[in-house]
Amino acid sequence: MLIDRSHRTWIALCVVALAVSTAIYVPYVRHALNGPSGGSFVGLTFGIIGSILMVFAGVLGARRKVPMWRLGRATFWMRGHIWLGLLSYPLILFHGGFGLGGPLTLVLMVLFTIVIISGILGVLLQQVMPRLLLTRVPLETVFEQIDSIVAQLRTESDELVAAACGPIGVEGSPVAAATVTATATSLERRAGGGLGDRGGGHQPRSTPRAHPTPLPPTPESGILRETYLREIRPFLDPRGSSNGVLSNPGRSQTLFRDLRTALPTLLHPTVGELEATVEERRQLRDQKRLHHWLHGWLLVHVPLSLALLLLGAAHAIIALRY
Amino acid sequence: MAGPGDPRYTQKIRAKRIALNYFKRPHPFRRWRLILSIAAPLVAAAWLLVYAGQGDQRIYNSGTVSVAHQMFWQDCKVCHGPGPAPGATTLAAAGPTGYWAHVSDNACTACHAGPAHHANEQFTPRCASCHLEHKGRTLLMEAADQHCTQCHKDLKTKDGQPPVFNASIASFREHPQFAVDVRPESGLLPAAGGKLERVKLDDKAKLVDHTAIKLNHTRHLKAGLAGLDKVVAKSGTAGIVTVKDGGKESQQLGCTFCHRPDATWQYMQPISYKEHCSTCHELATGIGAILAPHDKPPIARAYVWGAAADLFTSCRGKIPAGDDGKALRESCEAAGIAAAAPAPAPGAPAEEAPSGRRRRGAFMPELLPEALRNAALGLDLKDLKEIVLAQRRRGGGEEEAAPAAPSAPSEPESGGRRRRRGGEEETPPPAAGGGGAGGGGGAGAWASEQLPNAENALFKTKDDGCQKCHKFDATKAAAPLPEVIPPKIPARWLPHSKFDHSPHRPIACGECHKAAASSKTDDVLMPAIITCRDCHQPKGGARAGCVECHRYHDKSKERDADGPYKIPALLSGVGRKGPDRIK
Repeated sequence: MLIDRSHRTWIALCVVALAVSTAIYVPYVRHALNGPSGGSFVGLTFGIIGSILMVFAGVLGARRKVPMWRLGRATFWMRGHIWLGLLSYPLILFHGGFGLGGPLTLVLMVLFTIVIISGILGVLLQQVMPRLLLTRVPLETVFEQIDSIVAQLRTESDELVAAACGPIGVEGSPVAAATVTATATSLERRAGGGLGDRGGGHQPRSTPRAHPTPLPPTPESGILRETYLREIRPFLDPRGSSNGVLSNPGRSQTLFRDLRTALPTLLHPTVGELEATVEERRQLRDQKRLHHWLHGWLLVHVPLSLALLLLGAAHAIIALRY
Repeated sequence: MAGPGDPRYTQKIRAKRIALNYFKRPHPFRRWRLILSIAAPLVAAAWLLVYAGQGDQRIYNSGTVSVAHQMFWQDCKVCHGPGPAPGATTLAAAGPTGYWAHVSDNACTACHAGPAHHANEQFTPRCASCHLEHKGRTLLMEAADQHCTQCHKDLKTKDGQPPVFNASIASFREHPQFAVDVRPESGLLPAAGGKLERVKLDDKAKLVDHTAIKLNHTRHLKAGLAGLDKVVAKSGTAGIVTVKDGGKESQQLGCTFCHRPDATWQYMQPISYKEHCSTCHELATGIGAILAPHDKPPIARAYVWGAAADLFTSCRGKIPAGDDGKALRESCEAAGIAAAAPAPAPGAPAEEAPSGRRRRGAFMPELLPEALRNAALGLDLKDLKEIVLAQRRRGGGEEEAAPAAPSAPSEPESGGRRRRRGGEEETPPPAAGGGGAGGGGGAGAWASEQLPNAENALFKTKDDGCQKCHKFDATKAAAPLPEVIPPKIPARWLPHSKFDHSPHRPIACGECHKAAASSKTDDVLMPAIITCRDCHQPKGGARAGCVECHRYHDKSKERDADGPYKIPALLSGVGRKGPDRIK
C-alpha cells in the first residue's frame, strides 16, 4: 500500500497515542518502587492495549478471506494493520519495561521484532517496487503465469527457428522430430481454443502468435540454429538459469547484431523476432525478481505473525494466572 | 525494446498467453506461504506442549530465578499462590491458586522466618515487594534503596513517638555521620539492659574511647621498634613490613600483625596477648626468670607461687653440670636461691598421696591447700579450677605416679601441706598481702617469701606489669588483689551496620583507620562517613545502596535451622515425585 496523504489521520493518531503512552510511561518508571513490570497496573494496561492492536493487525489476513463481508473498506483494514501494528511495538516495549524477560517473552520479542521489521520492509518495498515494475517491466504479466509464458515464448522461438533452419533436433520441443507443418497445424488448432491447457497443469498455453512461414533453406541457417541452441534457447528455459550473455541487454544487442551480420537478409526478420522474445524474457525475469522482493517478506511476516499470536495468547494466559 | 507499443505485444496477444484458471492452481510462492503459515504456529505450539508435558513451567518465567530459588523455577505455584498451609509437611499450596496468584508471604515464610524489621515500624511490606524474583541470578537481599527510603525518608513510628534513628535519610549521600557506642569514663560496661552512649564520629568532645585498655598506636607503628627482632624470630615476618626510614630500610609492625581477619574476612579477630604482646611485654615477676601468666591476678599469683616453689626445688636438687644445667643455674642465681635457701630437713616426712595414677594438675579441690581455700581472695570454685589448670599448664601436664604407699618418713599432719614431686614439702601460698602463711621452711616457704616482690612487680607498678595495658577496677581497690576491668575491645563499633573487610583488601588500613597518628588510647579510629563516600558514590564506582551496610531483618530472631520439610516432601513441591535419586 502506498503511503500517501490519506494516511495522515492514522499517522497523527498513532503519534498522539505514542506521545500519551510515553508521558504515562516515563513517570511510571521513575516512581515504580521495583522498576517497570508487566504485572503492574500500568504495565498490564500497556500489555492489554498492545495485544489488542496486535490482534487487530493480525485479523487483516482473516478479513481478506471474507472480502464480501461488510466489515469496512479494505484500505481501512490495511491502514489499521500498518499503523496500529506499528504502534503496538512501543506499547509492548513499555509493557515489558524494555526487558526481554524469560524464555517465552524473549521468543515473543524476537518474533515481534522480526514481524515488525519485515512489515516495515514490506511497506517500504511497496513504495518503490511498483514504480520500478512500471518502468523496467512494460510487459508485466500475471506473476503466477510467468513460467508458463516463458515456455510459450520458447515454443514460439522453436517454431521460428525451425521455420528458418529446419528441424532443430531438440528433445521435448514440439518441432523436434515432427515436421514444421504438422506441428504448426496442431498448434494452430489449439490456438483459438482459449482454455488450451485446462487440465494440463504446467503445460504452457498455446502460442497466440501467427505461425511462421517456412523459409527456403540457406547455407548460413546453420549459424542461426547453432546460436539459438547454444545461447537463446537455454535463456528461454523457464526453469533454467536466466543469467548469461543474454541477461545483459548490451551484450545481447551485440550478439544479435553479430548474428545479423553473419546471416543473409532473408533471416533478419527471424533474428528480430528472436531478439524481441529475448527482451520479453528478460523483462519477465526482472518482474519475477522484483516480485520476489515485493512479496517475499510475506513468507516471513505472515507465518511468524501467526506464531506470535499463538505464543502471545499462551503468555497472556499464564501471566494473568501467576 | 519490446513493449506495449510493439504490435507484436498487443493486449489481446498478451492476454491470450494467460491461462484463465491460473488462480486455481497453487503457485509455489503461495504454497510456501501456506506451508510456513501452518508450520510456524505448529512449531510454536509443539514447543509449549513439550514443556507442558514435562510439567515444566520455566519457559513462562518472566526472568531467570535467583540462585537461591533455582530448584523452584519449574513450578510457578510453589511461590505464586497461597503457599503451604501452616504446619504442612509439603510445599503444596494450601488452596486453589486460580488467576492473579501473586506470591504470598505465606509461601515465603514456609522456609524463611523473615523476622520483623522493627517493632515500631508503621507498616510491614510484603516479602515479594522488596525481594524481587525473576531478575536474574542475583541475591534477593539486594533490595533497592527505595524500599528503605519509603519509610526512612520521613520516618514515623507506629505509636507516634519520635523515632530513635535519624528521621530523614533519603540516600547514602544524605546519611548522617556514623555513630559508635562508647563506654562511660569508668571503662565499665553497663549492667544488663543498660545502653552505651551513641556518639557521632564528628562529635569530638564526646568521642572518647573509654575501653579499659591502654595502647599507643604511634609508638607501636614506629619503624625500627625495639624488640622487633625477637618478634620476627618468634612469629616470623607475617604482619611485619619493611619501610624506608631515613634512607635505610628498617622493619616495622604492620597493622595486620595484631589485627587479623576472622574466618569470614568480615571482621577482625580479638587481640591476643600471647600472640601479639607477649614477646615484648613479658610479665616479669622478679623471681629469677619466672614470668607470670596473662590471667586474672589470683591465678597469676598462684601460678607464680607454684613456679617459685618449683624453682626452689629444682635449684636444691641435682643440677646437671655444664651447659645442660646452665640455664637453671643462672635462674637459681638470679633468684638468689643458692645462697639463701635453707637445706631441706633431713628425713622430712612425705604426705601420703592417694594410690593409683593421677594426672598432674587435675582439678582435685580436696587436695588444695586449706589456706588457699580460706584466703580472702574472693575466689569461687571456678577460680580455684583456673588455678589448678594454670599449675597444670606450668607443669606441662605430664603424668606422675603417685606413690602407692609412703616411702619416706611421715611428717605430722599440718594444714595445707601436701607432698610435692621429689619429696619436697609444699606450703600453700599465703593470703594476698599477708606474710607467709605456710609453716616451716622449704620450697613453699621460700616461694611465699618471694610473693610480695612479685605482686609489686605485677600489680603495683604503673609502667610495667598488668597496669601497663590494663586498668584496675577502682571500686574494688580495698580487695587483697586488684581486679582488672575486662577490656572487651569492641569487635564491631557500628552495631547497626555490617561491614566486610574482604572487598576492602586493596585499600591500606591507614586510609580508613588513622592509627599511625594516634598516640592516645582514647582515640576512636573508626573512619567517618566521608571516607566511605570517596568510593561509595556514583563517580567512585562502589555501590552505595542501603543494603551494602544494613540488614532489614533482625537475624537474631531467625527461626531454628531445623526446617520442617523432608527431602521427598520438598522435591514433591518442585515436580519431582519419583525416586530418581542419582546413585
